[in-house]
Amino acid sequence: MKFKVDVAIVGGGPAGSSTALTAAKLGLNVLLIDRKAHIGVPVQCGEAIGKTGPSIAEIDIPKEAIRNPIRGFRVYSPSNIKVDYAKPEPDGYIVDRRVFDKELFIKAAEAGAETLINTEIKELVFKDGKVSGLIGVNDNGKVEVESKIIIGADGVFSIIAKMAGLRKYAKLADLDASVGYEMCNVEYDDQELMEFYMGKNVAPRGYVWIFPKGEKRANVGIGVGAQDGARTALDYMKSFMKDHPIGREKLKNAKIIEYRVGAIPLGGPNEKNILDNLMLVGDAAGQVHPITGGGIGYSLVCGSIAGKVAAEAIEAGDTSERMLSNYESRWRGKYGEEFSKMLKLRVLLEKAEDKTLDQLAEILNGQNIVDLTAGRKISILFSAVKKRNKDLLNLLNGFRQLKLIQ
Amino acid sequence: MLIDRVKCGVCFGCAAVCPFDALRATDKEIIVNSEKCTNCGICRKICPVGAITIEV
Repeated sequence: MKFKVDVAIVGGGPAGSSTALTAAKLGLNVLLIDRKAHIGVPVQCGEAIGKTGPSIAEIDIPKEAIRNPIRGFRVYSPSNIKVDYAKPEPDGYIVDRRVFDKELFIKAAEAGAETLINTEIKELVFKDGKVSGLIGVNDNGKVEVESKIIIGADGVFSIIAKMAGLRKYAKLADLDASVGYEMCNVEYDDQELMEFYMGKNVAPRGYVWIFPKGEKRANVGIGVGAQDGARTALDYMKSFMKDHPIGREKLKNAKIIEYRVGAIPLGGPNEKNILDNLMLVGDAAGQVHPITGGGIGYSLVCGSIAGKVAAEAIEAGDTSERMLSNYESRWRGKYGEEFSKMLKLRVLLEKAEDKTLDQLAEILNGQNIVDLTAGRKISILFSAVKKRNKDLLNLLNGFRQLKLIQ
Repeated sequence: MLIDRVKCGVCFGCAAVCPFDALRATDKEIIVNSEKCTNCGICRKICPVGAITIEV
């Protein structure tokens, strides 16, 4: 099979489909390629998405994918003191990624993108030192694609990023090992709050999550920093279900419907996501929240930016790196600062001892921290803290330097 | 290195962190290039399910 297109996109997840949808709507000749036979499967995700991303990207969250509205989250500190961040109204959803990804893929196809599923890309083709196409394989045999622009939207282990030389191998420190389940018969505190459980013994350098999907169903999982091999993410997950005082109660009657394994990219964006005729989008670009690991919203927005820049570039007859740098500057203008701030916050939180986090939780106990981030009660917080604990004060000062509190 | 195919969830984490490009991921399994693999054990640390053992 041979194709000659304006834009060839590798990866049919939210980033790829968003790019394809935007570019196709703008009249480009688009080819959207995925390795999988079933778009959206397997799910490797907590399935939470805010309303902001889709609205900026001008992409409707597929109604069929929505499982449950979410107002915020509840954190259980290492000794299980609850801290809530809850908005008065829902500002996000837990979705079903199988449906979400597939519907978005369909929308891109309906907008005019050609699609190729079950197709594995093997090579990035270079002509005169510049990216010019792809070679892949599927059940019909060899697939040859000639394209003015190639988009790498092929996820955390992007082979396009690797072959383009924009990323080598991932550092251990930048990945969390993750195990997740879809479960039914799960008890949760509040159906509109996502739950996080912290602690060095619960999930070192990470957390356990329970994201309610409604009707006692939930997306339950764990992310932990790379381990020395003595205990794995799966071991920690099992002990949460069996031994954690809150966890074992909530999951007492839970039944496992689906089992997922994955790595969560937390290292922040790649230094560079463009070459002549090439852009990286989504997980492949490292457009992932460095603490939560959330990336669907960023993928949709950055995908739509990539789609627009692709259209401008094709229109201008210039797909050089200089032209595509509009993509880099626009998406970094939107999220660059947020990512670097959250990377710093991650370092702060990783350094904090369980004891310090517990003391912070104690002071915040019973308050909705949505109010606190507005800055009103912070002086009270400081005077409360001063006499008690130097580590906690350092942590709060760190928060203040990052302008998370005033 | 050896991969326990029963435990392995084919998440590609090991392939992503391998500094020697010794692991290749297909849709269904991880393939080890034993000529490139140095048994350094970095892949074992990221494996969420403990599917990797390093031969000494």
